[in-house]
Amino acid sequence: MPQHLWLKMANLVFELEKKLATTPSSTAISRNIDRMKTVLEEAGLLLLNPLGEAYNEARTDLEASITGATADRLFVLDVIKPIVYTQSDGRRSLLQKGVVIVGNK
Amino acid sequence: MSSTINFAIDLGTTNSLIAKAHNGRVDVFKNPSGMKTTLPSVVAFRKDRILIGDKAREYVEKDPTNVFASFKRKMGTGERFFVPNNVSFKTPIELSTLILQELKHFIFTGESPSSVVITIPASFDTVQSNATKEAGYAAGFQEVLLLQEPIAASLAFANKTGKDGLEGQWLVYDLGGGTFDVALVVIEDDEMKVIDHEGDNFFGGIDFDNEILTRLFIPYLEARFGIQDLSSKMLSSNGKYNKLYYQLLYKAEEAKIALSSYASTDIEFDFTDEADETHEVYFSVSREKFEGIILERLQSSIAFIRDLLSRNNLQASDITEVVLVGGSTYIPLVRSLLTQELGVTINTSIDPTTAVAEGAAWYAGSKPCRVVSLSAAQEPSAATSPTSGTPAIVVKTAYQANSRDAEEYLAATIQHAPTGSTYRITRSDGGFDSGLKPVQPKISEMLLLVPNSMNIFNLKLFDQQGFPLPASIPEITIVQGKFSIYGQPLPNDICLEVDDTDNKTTHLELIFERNAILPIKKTITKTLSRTIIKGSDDQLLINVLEGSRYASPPSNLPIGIVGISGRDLPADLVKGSDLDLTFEISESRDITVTAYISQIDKEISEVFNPSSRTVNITRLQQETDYLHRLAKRQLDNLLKNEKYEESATLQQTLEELETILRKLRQLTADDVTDTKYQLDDQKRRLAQAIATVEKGDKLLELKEEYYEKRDMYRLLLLQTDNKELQQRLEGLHAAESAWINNCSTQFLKLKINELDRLTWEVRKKDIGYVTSLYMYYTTKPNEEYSNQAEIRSLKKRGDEALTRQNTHELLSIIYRMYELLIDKDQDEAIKGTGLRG
Repeated sequence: MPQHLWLKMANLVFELEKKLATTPSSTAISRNIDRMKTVLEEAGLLLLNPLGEAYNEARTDLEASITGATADRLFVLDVIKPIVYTQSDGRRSLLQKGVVIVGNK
Repeated sequence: MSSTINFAIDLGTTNSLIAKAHNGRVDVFKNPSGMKTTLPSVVAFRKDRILIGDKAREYVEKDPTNVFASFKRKMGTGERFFVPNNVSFKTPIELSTLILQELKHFIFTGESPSSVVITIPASFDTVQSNATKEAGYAAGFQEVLLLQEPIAASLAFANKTGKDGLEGQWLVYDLGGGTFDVALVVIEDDEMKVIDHEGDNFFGGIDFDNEILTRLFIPYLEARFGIQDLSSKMLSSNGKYNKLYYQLLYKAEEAKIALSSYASTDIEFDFTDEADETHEVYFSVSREKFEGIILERLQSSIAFIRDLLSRNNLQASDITEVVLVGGSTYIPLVRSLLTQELGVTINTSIDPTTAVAEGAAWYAGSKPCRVVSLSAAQEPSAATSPTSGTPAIVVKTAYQANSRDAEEYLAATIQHAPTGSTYRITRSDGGFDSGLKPVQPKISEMLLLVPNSMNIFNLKLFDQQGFPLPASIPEITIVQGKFSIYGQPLPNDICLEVDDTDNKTTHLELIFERNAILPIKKTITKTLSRTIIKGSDDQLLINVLEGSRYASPPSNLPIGIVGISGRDLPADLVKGSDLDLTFEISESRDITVTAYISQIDKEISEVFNPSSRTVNITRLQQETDYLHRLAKRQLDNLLKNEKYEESATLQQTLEELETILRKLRQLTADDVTDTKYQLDDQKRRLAQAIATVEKGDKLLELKEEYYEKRDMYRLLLLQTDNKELQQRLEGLHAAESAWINNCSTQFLKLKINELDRLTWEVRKKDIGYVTSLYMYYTTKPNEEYSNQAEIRSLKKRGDEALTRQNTHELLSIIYRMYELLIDKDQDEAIKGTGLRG
């Protein structure tokens, strides 16, 4: 399967996981999501969810929209798309920047 | 030295690109961070560093006094921008210089071009053009040629479609992210010229995103949730809905892009109303609706064209075609409106985002270079410092090579760097970039780490013109998380026993490799190899063993076994259904095995630790029984070959196995004595003895079979051009030395099977082979198949497929025939684990 389709699938899996985090759901569904993430890993994609992490301007793994006062410490408040790296032969490279909204906690 | 310039830069108002002509083609370079071809033309002067591009753009609205965009519009003016953060003034030329220097970092080939073509708008006068040249020189280029953007775009199209594609007078319609330009271009006396142009500096793709937000999303939310003036609340920086503004602006852009390909798109997001209740919002946008809200703005661009034509005394019919440039021209309405309003052919044969850079590179590829182009090693700084007597730059770094934190502190000292030098630290995967920072004798930086992996950083120094400075700085490698020095390596492979139904035995499947660092976790999905009937005594066995992955299961140490009995099942576990197995080993070597059976939604979890070994009596009985049968067969062979000495040893082994079997029959499933552990140890010892005898007897035979099949497969591959399969074979060959002299017969059989599978991959494409296979099945009497009506129909279809020589169709028929064959599994009688290998 072409890489852009794997990436699309990775974003859908991430969205599904995000929705489940806010609503009570069966562990069976979470399990299927874990399986999907394992398949994505086998396809060479590493998904990272930066929610809650500190943000600074050196983070080129993120494409941020900044809310609030920039003078204070900034954190990732919402993740629209996850960070995705490709991994093969021990090498990793950024495939998709995480699309995030950052602001003060 | 290159004889032509080759390199070209599209120095845009909104975005910039760099491309190179090489060997009759053009490559557009990508940003090593994020792999995009475009670099936003934005510069941010943050407190201690300069950011250029995407990161700078993020601060445009939040820190407008220190962040500069669209400065191209001010080229050639006396305007200077005050930067509060470093209390200095910057000119548009200096800001453009930074963009040009940043684009040089996109060149991954190690070249450092001395000459470049830079594109300028058709509207640029002499002063503005010279200002652009000055920026080029300041960025370290020694020769700068300028080319008008509409000409560059036309060249890209001409090179794609051939010169015949561009004749008479044509328009270049450039609708980018934030600006719009239209130019009238003609070829006169073999020279391409811009006759006239028109434009709007505040019209582009971002306006369409805003239209979707303000005219579709906001009215819908206001109406549905009874909110007043949502727009103002979204734009207030401390307002409740400010976060939503950015979310929806992103969604609007996504919708716009999707509507270029689809007739409608669905947007979904969470919305928290005034009463703090969160709702899931699904919003469908049709292309028709989208076109309705942008039509007016697009019509104004048509009005520009009409003005341009009328002041040049031209009719739309005098225009041969319209060349499209800029990402916003992907919008179907742009294309249909131009066709409909002007009745002119639209040329869409090239990527409108990169057209200007590509065309400029074609031009650069045809222009002779007047200065010597340098390789990275010959750059001014590299060339002068060793000979000029200036001391070499010395950089020393200090950091912790292993970390359990999300960030790690790096400290460094830098000596003898020229005044005005900058440094930059980047992570090799593109996820971290410190930006440009002024060199000081002592520097420090917090380095962001990707969890549970190796992070490689590079520290580079640059002179004032952006050229790399020569300094020997080793890579900074920091291992985060699991590879910590505190972790302990596994002394042996940890494997799972699985069934090998083809060879009627079981074999080992690697879960964790020897020397893997603890703690470690892995989830795999296995398929059931037989049905476990509800209420029966049959068991599904998850048998975890420690030892060499190349050995046979009975000779490895069992460290944990989970038995799922038919008696505990609420329903039959059907052959072919999936089972999720999670294996986890803690630093203190506790092993947790969790099995989840989705078919019955049941989870079974057991923790084992090395001090309390688990022996499953049923499994032990099966294994001993299997060893007994194996030993019996071997004994018969030895006696047949009159090897009486070896047969005496084996006879004793057989007797010992019979004793174990007898004792096992007397044990209850919940026996609390040590007997089962003793019997398990004895069984393992006997298994190793049998394996030794078997090795002498069977292994040689299997090795010969393996080598023979490998060589046959190689010959087969030589007749094809399948690089991928050839590589797989080479991989198999290269790995042989690790196992060929110390593997079990089961493992060798697996490898032979692998060769059989690879051979099949090749042969199934060979119509001759597939035909012979079909003939084999079709000549069998119908009575040998389970469904005679179906087999008759299959044979009829097969004969037809044969006349068409259709390999795929024949194969699908053969597969089905094999399925229907009655006696194919008659001798498949192993009990095994129930997990398919």
